[in-house]
Amino acid sequence: MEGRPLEEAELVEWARHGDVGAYEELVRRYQHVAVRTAYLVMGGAAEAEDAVQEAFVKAYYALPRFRGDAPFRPWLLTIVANEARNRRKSAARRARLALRAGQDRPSGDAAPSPEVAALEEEERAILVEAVNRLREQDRMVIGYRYFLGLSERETASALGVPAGTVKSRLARALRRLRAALETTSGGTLAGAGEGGLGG
Amino acid sequence: MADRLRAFTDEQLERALADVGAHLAYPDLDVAAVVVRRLTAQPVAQRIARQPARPGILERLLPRRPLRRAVALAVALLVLVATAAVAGRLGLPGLRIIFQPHATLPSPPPVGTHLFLGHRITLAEARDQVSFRVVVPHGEGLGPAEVYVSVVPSGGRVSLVYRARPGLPAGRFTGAGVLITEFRGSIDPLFVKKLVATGTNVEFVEVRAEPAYWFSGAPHELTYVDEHGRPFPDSQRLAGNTLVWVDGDLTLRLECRCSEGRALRIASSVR
Repeated sequence: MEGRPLEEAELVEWARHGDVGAYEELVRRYQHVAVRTAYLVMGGAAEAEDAVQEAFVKAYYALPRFRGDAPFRPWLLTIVANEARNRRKSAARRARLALRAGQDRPSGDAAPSPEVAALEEEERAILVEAVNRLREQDRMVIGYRYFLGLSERETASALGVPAGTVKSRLARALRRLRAALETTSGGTLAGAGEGGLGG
Repeated sequence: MADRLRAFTDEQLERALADVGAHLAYPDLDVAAVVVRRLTAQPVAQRIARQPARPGILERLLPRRPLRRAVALAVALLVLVATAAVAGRLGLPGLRIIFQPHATLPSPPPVGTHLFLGHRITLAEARDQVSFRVVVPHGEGLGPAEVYVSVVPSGGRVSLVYRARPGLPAGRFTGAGVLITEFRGSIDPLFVKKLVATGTNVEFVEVRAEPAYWFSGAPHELTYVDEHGRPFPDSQRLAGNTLVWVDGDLTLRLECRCSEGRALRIASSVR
């Protein structure tokens, strides 16, 4: 075996037939988004790690049920999100998301647009706090769609709902986020009014 | 500051949330190695790991030259089979035989006949894809083979599955008349590991004057192990009568519900 890197569909096909080496490559490709997905649900690094490990093991054994012509990532995220959700439920603990300490450098891959870059650290903290106070359904749709930047289809997969419901859920979640911001203090923090966010 | 957020349009709020998403304290984890370890560390592997730490002694004592090694192995085998309770490791290139007390043998085979042989392709494609010359049996009336290839180990592994036919009934564990697997043991050492218990006969035989083993009687466990001793899950199953032999730098194994004579004839026709 030599040469070109294998395409996702090839790797999936190899893995479906029991090729653990091929599956390892798939894990490497998707663990980044898988870990983040689990973290959004669980809010803790150790818990997310356990859930992602378990999800990848389960996904391997579920591969025979995977439709080969479908994209792999949404399918995987369904399993990861499910695993994380079940674990969080049994831990009976509410996930609390936190910002990375010592900011400035974004933890994401994509460079934020200039407008977004102007968001102040305190504003991020206020937003995270407001999202943390939302009920789970709202928190997760915002988390998957905006925090992780999943597509609507992937968001639906992770939520385990039909793709058509994501838009309406998002609209509702944003409304409730605004309501949560109404009851959030923070207008007195230093740096208020600096910068500008496109408007 | 919250005031400014409250004044955001939906679009601004969405962008702000994306910005927050880029600053969350996501853990930075690499789970690939652990996942692979879990997938490969099946109960079989755990049992192997729990064996008393006495492997290697025989290996060190045995001469390196193949022929003398084979003779020494044959003698050792007889001794071990006779005593049955002794745990030891023996082998051909690419083969390790583990002797275990009966109680530790696994019970049922995996459900179904999913053999995890890899990807199904044509023989011509297989010949293009692996690093060795794929050999097949000739003139044994086996009919056409289903050909499977696996990317593990890196040199590739080819399996030929022949349907059951008169004189070659479907194997209890393979569902096939004959299953032949070949890989290059010497380049990227991948070992066929045999767990042999009381009730399995191990016989030292020859295929075209090269050392070979014939396993028969009670089912035994078969697993592939890489150079680090990590078993792959793709073949952890029980095996029926099996012949393992060496052809140049290839290690081959043939599994069938047939006699030793038939297995040897098929193996001798492989080229």
